Amino acid sequence: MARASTTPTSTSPIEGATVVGPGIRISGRVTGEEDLHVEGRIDGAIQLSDTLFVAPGGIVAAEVEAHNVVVSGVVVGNVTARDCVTLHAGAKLVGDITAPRLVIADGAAFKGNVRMGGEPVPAREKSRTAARPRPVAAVRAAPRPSAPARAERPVERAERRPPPPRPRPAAAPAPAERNEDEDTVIVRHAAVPDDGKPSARAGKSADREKPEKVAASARPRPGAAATDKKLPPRARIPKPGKRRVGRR
Amino acid sequence: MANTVIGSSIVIDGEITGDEDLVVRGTVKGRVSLRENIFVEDTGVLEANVETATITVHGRVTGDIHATERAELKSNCRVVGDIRSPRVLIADGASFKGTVDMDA
Repeated sequence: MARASTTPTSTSPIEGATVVGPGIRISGRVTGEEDLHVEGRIDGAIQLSDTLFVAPGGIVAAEVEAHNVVVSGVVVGNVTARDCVTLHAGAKLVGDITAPRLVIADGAAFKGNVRMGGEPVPAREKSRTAARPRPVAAVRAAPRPSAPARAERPVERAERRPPPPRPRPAAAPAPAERNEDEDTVIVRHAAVPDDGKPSARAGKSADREKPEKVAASARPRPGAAATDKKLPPRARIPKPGKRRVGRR
Repeated sequence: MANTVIGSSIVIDGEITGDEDLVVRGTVKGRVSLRENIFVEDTGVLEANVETATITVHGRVTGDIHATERAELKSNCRVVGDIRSPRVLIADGASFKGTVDMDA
């Protein structure tokens, strides 16, 4: 039977049969109860109660269901045949084949799974594939607790900050001296836009702002002067942390 | 060039494009866009908007027809839809409902 069905492939399609010529492209669903010769291209789905012929040069990018499928061209998609699937030399098929009989000739290219007979196999594979996403979901769930953990981190950092205040009184005067030199540049820039017109108030407010900024700068400077270089990064790190919390 | 033939038991739901003759003996739903000739035979059913050079209808067409050269409705055909073509031929016995625009 298979030989009888495969022989017509090499011959040109009989007149009266359905032919999709080389210059034709069909995108959609093709159903029928007769042979279909594809010399052009069909995208979508094909359901036939007879034989699908994919001629050399023919391209089928579709889910195929047919009684027989005879391929000399290119098929991309799952192929289900109630009787036989035949891949001739030069054929290319990418997809899963479900058929009781499968013939692959020398020179044919095929990539995919083959199921001959047992249908419970796909059910098991589906269960396997369904089981795979579960760990993925667990992985996805895992980072969620880490997100609140990140949210807690800034709190911990905030708790860690208060201990440094103890050195503040000692450290504050020292940075204040430094800040007089440093802040003269920094505060002027900050004071002018903040207070605007009155420059004298700007100076007073600048003085007021100094200790705040000093305190802010002093927080990361609980330790000795040697740690100063390491501290600025600490001051920078919590900022993105706060931003992250604010974003989430 | 081999003609493309849609057999009498074939149903296509979708879009057909190309540049060769198309013979419809089955059913085509959706859209047909060709640069050549379409023949809808007695058993053929086109439920689609059609763009083509020429179309010859013996069967049934439901949808707008835009033929850049000629649209020919044979006797016993049934066409529902608008026809836009410079040459429109309607044979005696043909059934047609719609508008004809021969300006294009």
